[in-house]
Amino acid sequence: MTSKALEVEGLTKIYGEGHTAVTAVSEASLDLAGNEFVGLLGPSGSGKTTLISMIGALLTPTDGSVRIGGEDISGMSKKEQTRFRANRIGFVFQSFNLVPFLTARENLTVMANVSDLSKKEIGDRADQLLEELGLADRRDNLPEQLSGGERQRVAIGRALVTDPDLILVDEPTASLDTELGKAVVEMLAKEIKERNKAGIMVTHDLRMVEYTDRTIEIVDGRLRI
Amino acid sequence: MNLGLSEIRRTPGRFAAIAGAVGFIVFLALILAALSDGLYLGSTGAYRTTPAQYWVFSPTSGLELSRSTIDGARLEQVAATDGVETAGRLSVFNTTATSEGQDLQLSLLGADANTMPVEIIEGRLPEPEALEVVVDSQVTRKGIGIGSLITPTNGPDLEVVGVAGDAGFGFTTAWAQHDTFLEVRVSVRPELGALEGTSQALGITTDGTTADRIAEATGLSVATPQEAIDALPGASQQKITLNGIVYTTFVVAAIVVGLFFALVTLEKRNEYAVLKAIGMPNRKLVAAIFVQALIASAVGYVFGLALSRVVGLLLPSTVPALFLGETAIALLGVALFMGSLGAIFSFRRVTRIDPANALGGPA
Ligand SMILES: Nc1ncnc2c1ncn2[C@@H]1O[C@H](COP(=O)(O)OP(=O)(O)OP(=O)(O)O)[C@@H](O)[C@H]1O
Ligand SMILES: [Mg+2]
Repeated sequence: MTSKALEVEGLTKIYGEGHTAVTAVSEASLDLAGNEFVGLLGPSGSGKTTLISMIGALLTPTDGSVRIGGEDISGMSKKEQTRFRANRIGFVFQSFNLVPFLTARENLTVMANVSDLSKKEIGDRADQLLEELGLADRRDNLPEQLSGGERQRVAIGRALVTDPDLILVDEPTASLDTELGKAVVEMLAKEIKERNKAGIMVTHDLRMVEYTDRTIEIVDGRLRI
Repeated sequence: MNLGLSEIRRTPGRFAAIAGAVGFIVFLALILAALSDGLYLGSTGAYRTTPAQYWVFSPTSGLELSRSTIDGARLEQVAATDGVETAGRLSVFNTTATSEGQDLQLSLLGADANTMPVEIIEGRLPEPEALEVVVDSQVTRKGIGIGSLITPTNGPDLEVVGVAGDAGFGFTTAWAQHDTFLEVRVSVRPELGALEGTSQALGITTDGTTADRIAEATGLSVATPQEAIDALPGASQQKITLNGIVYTTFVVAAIVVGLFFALVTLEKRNEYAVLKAIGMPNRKLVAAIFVQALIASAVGYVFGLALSRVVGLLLPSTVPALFLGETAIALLGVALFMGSLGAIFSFRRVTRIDPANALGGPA
């Protein structure tokens, strides 16, 4: 067992074949300690989404390996990967994050369907997270009744409610203005730190970098650490 | 809680729409089924409703009453045949008549004690020699009941003394004692007088002796009630045609449900991608759709059933619609099956959605 939360080695993704082949990520290697929150920066089309998709067991790499909490996810079946995502990885997406017909709290407790944690544990964690994220009085509101910032905070809560090892965040502030974006990322960073989680946040926005421990840059599919 | 149920609870409007669509289709199917049942049962009751186990026709009749004659000698021969326990006559003729101020087409049946309807709902059977009849229960919808008089054109007044269930045989159906029947027929259709004393068919019960043995012994055609019904011109064809339309209607219901969920799935692509990315297995998403389709079909069915019953009450008595519980239950099964079938078309669409689409913004 290793203390590393994430070990990425020689991770490569080539889309397509022959002369239309696009190398989106090339030989990426990267380690994350158990409580590290890093920013992943890079121009559009540089391979950020492709990289975290592979790390998040959503996309099969062409080559290389990903170990999360010491477990190699590359060799898993689709079913095993789905289970792994449910229990070990928390996601915050850019948009379409929440289930529109579930309340804020239900968007967290819905994870009881897939998590190995009990319904009660998930429920207790959900209440605590909503409290910490300043959503206690919004818990019974539907996403459409929440502001953009509140919605992203609910998404952060959902990512953490299953007690995962690794949090993956893709441009969480793309649909928010700067001040709101900062507040959301600050909250995200605080939750990740307090819980001793590892996290990767994809962002375009250099102003968000102040909340991360370090930043990794990606250009044309290659990492510059 | 199942995701599908939560969604219905929070956004009932869109499910009301699909349930309503299913409801109208079910309504149509139930009305057609009621017509099919009404027409079929209303024109075949005479063969079912008596104690007779077999019906005996003359050999070249093709098992059709109107082409069959059995004279008194034949009746005695059949009654005396080994294995035959009871034998009774059955005849029918159609005529115009009036009753309770209405003109009607009357199907007057003549029967003996052994071939009278068994299910007397009200009143009693006609007495021998008396100008009395028992009417089929459907006739009561025309306001004709015990004490009413039915007057065949050129014939004597017949007093209604009883109401029998499932005793319809074509038009407004009344049963008289066979001798009374012959008397009425002679006055209405004197040209048939030569056939006095004969009947069209015999209903028999046996001690277990088979139809074949009795046919062999008598040289007559012997049929089960179902065989006699199948030989009625048009009855089975009509039923098959109408039921064909009913089932086609349900195929339409399946297509409507299928299209609805196909559209919904398309619209919720991003939502499904997110749910799959955060670890929701296909199994749960598919179960949610399945539950929704079942509920939409069940609610639609209830709506359609209620509507069909209301409309059934408003139908004029000349429409032979008959709403049967067993048909309603069978069609509930068909509705749920077709609804599920429609949902299944969306399963592949859902399982094929790539969870990776959740990342990187709107696809
Ligand atoms: N499914 C795909 N098929 C083919 N090429 C793809 C596919 N997905 C991404 N690419 C290509 O791979 C490269 C990296 O794309 P990716 O989406 O990872 O970039 P990104 O850094 O996330 O960009 P952005 O900042 O615009 O979101 C791009 O050149 C893109 O065109
Ligand atoms: Mg991207």
